[in-house]
Amino acid sequence: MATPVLHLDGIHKTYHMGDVEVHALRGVDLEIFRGEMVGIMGPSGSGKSTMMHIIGCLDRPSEGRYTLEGEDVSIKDDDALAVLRNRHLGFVFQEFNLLPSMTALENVCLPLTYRGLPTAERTVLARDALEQVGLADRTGHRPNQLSGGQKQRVAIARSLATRPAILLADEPTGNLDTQAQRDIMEILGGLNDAGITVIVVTHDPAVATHCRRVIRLLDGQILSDGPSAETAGEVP
Amino acid sequence: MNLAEAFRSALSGLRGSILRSALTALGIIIGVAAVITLISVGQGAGQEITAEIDRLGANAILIGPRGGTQLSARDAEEIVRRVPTVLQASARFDAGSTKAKWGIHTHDVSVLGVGAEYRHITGLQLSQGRFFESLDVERRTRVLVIGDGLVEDLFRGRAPIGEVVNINGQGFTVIGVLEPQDAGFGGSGNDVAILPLSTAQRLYTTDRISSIYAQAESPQVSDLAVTHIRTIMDLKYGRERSVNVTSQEQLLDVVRTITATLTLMLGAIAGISLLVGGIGIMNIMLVSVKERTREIGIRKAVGARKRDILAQFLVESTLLSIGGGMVGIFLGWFLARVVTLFGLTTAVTINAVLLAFGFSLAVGLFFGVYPAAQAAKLDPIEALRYQ
Repeated sequence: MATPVLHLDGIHKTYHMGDVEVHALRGVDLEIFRGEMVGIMGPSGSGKSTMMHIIGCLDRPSEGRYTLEGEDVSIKDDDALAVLRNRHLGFVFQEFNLLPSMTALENVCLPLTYRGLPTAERTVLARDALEQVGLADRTGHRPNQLSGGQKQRVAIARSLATRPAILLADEPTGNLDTQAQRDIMEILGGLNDAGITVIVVTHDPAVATHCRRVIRLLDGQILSDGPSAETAGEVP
Repeated sequence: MNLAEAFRSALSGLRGSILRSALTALGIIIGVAAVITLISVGQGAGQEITAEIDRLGANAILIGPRGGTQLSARDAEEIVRRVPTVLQASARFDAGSTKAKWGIHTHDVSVLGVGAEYRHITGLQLSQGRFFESLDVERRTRVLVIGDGLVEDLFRGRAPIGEVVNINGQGFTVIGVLEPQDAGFGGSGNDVAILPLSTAQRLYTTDRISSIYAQAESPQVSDLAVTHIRTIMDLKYGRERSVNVTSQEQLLDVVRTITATLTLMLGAIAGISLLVGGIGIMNIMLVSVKERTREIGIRKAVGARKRDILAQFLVESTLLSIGGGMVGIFLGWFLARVVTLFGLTTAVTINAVLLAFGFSLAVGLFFGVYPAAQAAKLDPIEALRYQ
C-alpha cells in the first residue's frame, strides 16, 4: 500500500450554534488506502456524520489538513469541492435521494451530466452501472415504481457511473428489509472486490461485519481502528 | 453543464408542476396581451386620425380666424396672388345645419359654401355628375353637390342629377354626388350640401366666410407658405396672430405627438400588469426553490456547481416568461382583433410585439435571478437534510 487515497491530518470541526460551540471532531488522524472497505461506527453525536461530510467534500474542516487523491481539499472553494465530489466520490444515502421525476437511467446519468459528458457517452456509462447492480431491465422505471432495495441499487449505480475512487455510503441499509440489506452489502462487497474503496458509515454491527476495517468514533475522536473481527462483538 | 442541459433540467422542473407553471405564466400572458392590445389601440387611433388629416388634401393649409377677425373671400384671392408657394386657395363658408327637402322627403344636412378650387385642394371624388366651376361661383349659379347620405333618403332610388332640392325655401339643382366617405372631422361627412360660395352667401344673406383652405406646392415649402400667409394676414388685420395658420404637416406632427403619448401611457399601464406577472414568477420560483431544496442538495452532492444550479433555475423562470410572452402576443393580437369589432381601429405593430417579447424576457431574467441565487447558494448538507 503506497500513498493513501485519503488522508485526514489533525482534523477539527467546530460548529457555532448561537453562543455555544459544538466540537464535532477533535483531532482526527486517518489514512485510508485504495481498495479498502472501511466501516465507520459510533453512536449519534460521535461525529461520524461530520467526518463523512468532510471526507465527502461536502464540508471543510475548521482545522487540520485533508488530502484526497493527493489534492489538499481544505483550501478549495465551493465549486472546486463540487468538481472533486463529481470526479472522486460517489454517495449512497440512507434515504436513496433519487430525483422522483426522473427514470432510473436519468438519475444515474445526473453526475455524468455535471461532468459535461455528451448524451451518448452518458447513456452507455449509466447502462453499464445499472447492469453492474443487476437493474439492466429497470432503466425506464421511476423511483416510485421500484422497491426500496432497487432504489438503493439505482443510487449505487449513480455513485458508480463516474468511476469514483471512493464510494461513500451513509447508513445504506437503514431503510431496507433484511433481504435487501444483505443484497446491498453484497453489491458493495463486490464493488470493493473490483477495486473500489468503500467507506460505510453505520451504527449496525451486522453491516460492519462486511467491512475488513472498522473505525469507531466517540465524542469526535477515534476510539479504535482495526480489523472488523476484533471489534465485531462490541456494540457501541 | 451547458445551456442545453440547463434547458432540459428546467423543462423537467416545469413539467413536474404543470398547473402551477401554467398559472404563473398566466400572469405574463395577461401582461403581454394587455401591452399588445393597448398599444395597438393607441397606434390604431393615431392611424385613424392621420388618415383623417390626409383627407384634408395633400399639402393643405388651413387658415382660420382668431379673436374676432372677419376673413373674407378676398383674402383667399390675396393669398394665391401674393404667396408664390401657394398653388391655389378657396374660401369656405360653413352655414350650419338645416333641412334639405325633395318632394315630401327631408334630410338634415350641413350646408357648405366653397370655391371651385376646394375640390382640388381636398381631393374630393364624385360618384356622379360634376363639381361646380369658377364660373358657377362668379354667377351665383343655383346648383349644389350633395353628399352620398342624401341620395337614398331624398330620392328613394331615383337618379338625383338634375333634380331640384329645396334648402331654406329656395331651389337648387343637383349637379354632382360625392363618393361615400368615412365620417370625419371638418364636417365633410356624407350629409353635406356643397354650394358655390357666392350662392351660399346669398342664401344666408352674408358675405362672411369661416375659413380658407390653401394648398402649398409641395411638402417642402409647406412651412414657408404657412409663415408667409401668417405675415400677410397679420399685416392686413393689424394685430399679431390674427389668424390661425396650420399646415397638414403641422397637424400630423401634433397627432404624432399625441399618439406617441397615448401609446406610451397605455403601454405603461399595461406594463404594470406585466411587472405584477414578473413578481408572480419570482414568488413561484421562491416556493419552487424551497420545495426542491432536497433536489438541489442531491444535484450538488453529485457535482453540480453554483452556476449549474443558477442556470437551471434561471432558465426555468425565463422559459416561463418567454412561453407566457409568446402566448400573450397571440392573445393580444386576438384581443386587438376583437376590439375592432367595437368600432375602434387597432394596429398591432412589429415594434410592439418585439417590445412586449423583450420586456417579458427581461422580466423573467430579472425576477428569476434572486430565487436562482437562493438555490445556488444552498449548503449541500443542509439541503440534503431538508424534509
